[in-house]
Amino acid sequence: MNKYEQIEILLVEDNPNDVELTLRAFKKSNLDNKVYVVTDGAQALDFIFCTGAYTDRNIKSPPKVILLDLKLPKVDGKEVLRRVKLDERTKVIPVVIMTSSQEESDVVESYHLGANSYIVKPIDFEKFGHMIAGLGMYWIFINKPPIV
Amino acid sequence: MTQQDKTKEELIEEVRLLQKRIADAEQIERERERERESTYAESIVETIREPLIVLGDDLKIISANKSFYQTFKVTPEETQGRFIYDLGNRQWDIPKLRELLETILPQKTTFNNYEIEHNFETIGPKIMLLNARQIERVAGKERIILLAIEDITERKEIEAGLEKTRKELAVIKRTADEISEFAENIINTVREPLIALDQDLRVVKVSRSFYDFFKVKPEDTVGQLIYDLGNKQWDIPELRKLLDEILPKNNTFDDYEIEHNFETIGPKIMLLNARQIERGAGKERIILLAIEDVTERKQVEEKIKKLNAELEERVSQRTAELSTAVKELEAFSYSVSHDLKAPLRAMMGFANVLSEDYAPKLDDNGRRLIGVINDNVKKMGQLIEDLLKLAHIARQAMDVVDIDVTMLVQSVCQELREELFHDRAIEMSVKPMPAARADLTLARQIFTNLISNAMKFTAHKEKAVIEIGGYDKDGERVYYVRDNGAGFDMKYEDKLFGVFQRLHGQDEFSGTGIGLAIVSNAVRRHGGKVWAEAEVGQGATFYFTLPKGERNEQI
Repeated sequence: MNKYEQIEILLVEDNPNDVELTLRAFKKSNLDNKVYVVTDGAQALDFIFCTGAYTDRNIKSPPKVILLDLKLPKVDGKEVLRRVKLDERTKVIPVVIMTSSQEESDVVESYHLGANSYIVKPIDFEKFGHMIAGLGMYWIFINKPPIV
Repeated sequence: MTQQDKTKEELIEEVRLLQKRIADAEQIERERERERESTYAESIVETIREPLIVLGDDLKIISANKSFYQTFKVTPEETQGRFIYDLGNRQWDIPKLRELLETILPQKTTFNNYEIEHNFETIGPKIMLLNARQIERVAGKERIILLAIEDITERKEIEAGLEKTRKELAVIKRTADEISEFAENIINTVREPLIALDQDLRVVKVSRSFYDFFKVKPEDTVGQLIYDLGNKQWDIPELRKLLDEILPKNNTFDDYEIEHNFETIGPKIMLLNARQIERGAGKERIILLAIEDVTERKQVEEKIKKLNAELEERVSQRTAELSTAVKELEAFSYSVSHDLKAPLRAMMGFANVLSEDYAPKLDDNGRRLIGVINDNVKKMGQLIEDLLKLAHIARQAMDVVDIDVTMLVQSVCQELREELFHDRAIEMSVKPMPAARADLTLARQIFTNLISNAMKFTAHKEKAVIEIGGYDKDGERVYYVRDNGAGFDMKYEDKLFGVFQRLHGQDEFSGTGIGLAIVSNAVRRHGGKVWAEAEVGQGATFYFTLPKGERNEQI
């Protein structure tokens, strides 16, 4: 039993405002205590592969979903996605790209790299709230992950 | 009885008998003589190689020689004593022979080389040369005719053949002369210097242009070894290779390039075309060498090549600059898309956090002000979306296909009504339209913007009528979207398609002022044009052209 045991959602997001609004939306679904936030791609990889600051985490209890922004400091979102999907141990973890970009090329490339979903963050607060609530509901309660 | 006993009558009788005996003896002697002569004559006749016949005065054959019998394949029995014309089934009854024997000979007694052409029954068509002599008082006859017949058919044929050959030779010679003259004319007419060499590579013939071009004289040229020409200036390794190695194997060689510094005319680049022509029994050969001076052309080509290289370098430089610019633009729109939207989301998000968390502390005006923030954030969001779309249209790669425009428009209309104008009564009239050849995404964008505009600007009408159609005019394929809405004043037409240009107030009709700019850009990318006709309060018609399509393709 350690502090990461209850983590079901990994949120990779560098914008603190987006983090705050996202967590606020998760809170409304009572999911905020299941979310762990990292603010760049390097941290994300450390968390996922249990390296660096996260050596005490067990790679065999992965999050149920990774919410990944594309534009990130240090290691960008696509690289994180690529590494996760290339590793036998982590490739089954669902990765949801959550970004402001609606560039077709980003969408296509993300899916090619193995993304499980691609979501454009809306500007509208109400839509954003609904989206986060829906996301949490789907990946935590509806979707059935494989047993690792 | 003695001699003296004989009577005078007896003696006379005796003398008479003696005289008779003498006369008889003389007669016999004469006949012998005649016979000898006759035999002699006959021997001569027999020895003559040509057929010969002896005719009597009555034109009956007295005799003929062996050669006659052999030549005409007849026997003495069926010949001697016969009338000449009756011989061998009357094959000798020839008008010309009759003329000779009956008319000419009696007058002239001799006739030489009288030619008769006749088809003889026994020996076929022949040409005979007749020689005739009329001889008086021979062989006990008053007059005999000697007729020598010479068969000259073969000789004639040979002569005719010889004549023919002679004529042919004359023709050949004339032709050869003409060809030679013709060839000479060609040699002297061609602009390029031309030189003919024999098998020892000595100059046989040279064109005028050769002398002119290389500034040499005929007397220093003809008969010379090519390598020795003009102070050995033609002794070029490449030429030696061509003449000594390549030509003996190939017989022909085109565009062999030689670069050489000629003593008389300076450095030149020459293009050589060579032909080796075999003559006679294949032993002799003539080499024709055409020389083209391509120095200037090469220089021009070099210059062009250099210019092209420079141009290419400049183009690639510009392309690099351009692609850098495009990349920057992409990065720009990416950050617009990503970084500009995040603060907006935050603004709107936290304004709402404010209204949720501090609701009790806010009065009506406070809540209204939060609403103003929200409205403006939304508007900004829409602006960003539209600007991104505009930028996207300018740089998007086009995938041009044949488009069934009627189907496309129907699908756009349906989509717009479902998404945006489901609560309004709009009379839509989509006419059948000719196919366009365009990028499907862009074409869809054009119609979406124009039709949604038409829907928007007919909002205040009791009954909105929108018509969409297309036709060919002046070789162009024109499409239009017509509405009976607010319209606009034509004096503002030029502002219509500019970015952020609006002809209506926000309180009248909402919008970012980018929609028509997108239409204009999309049409221009297809090489088309866009224009509008309108009247205030009477509606507007927007026209645009697209390339013609042929087949209809699935939308």
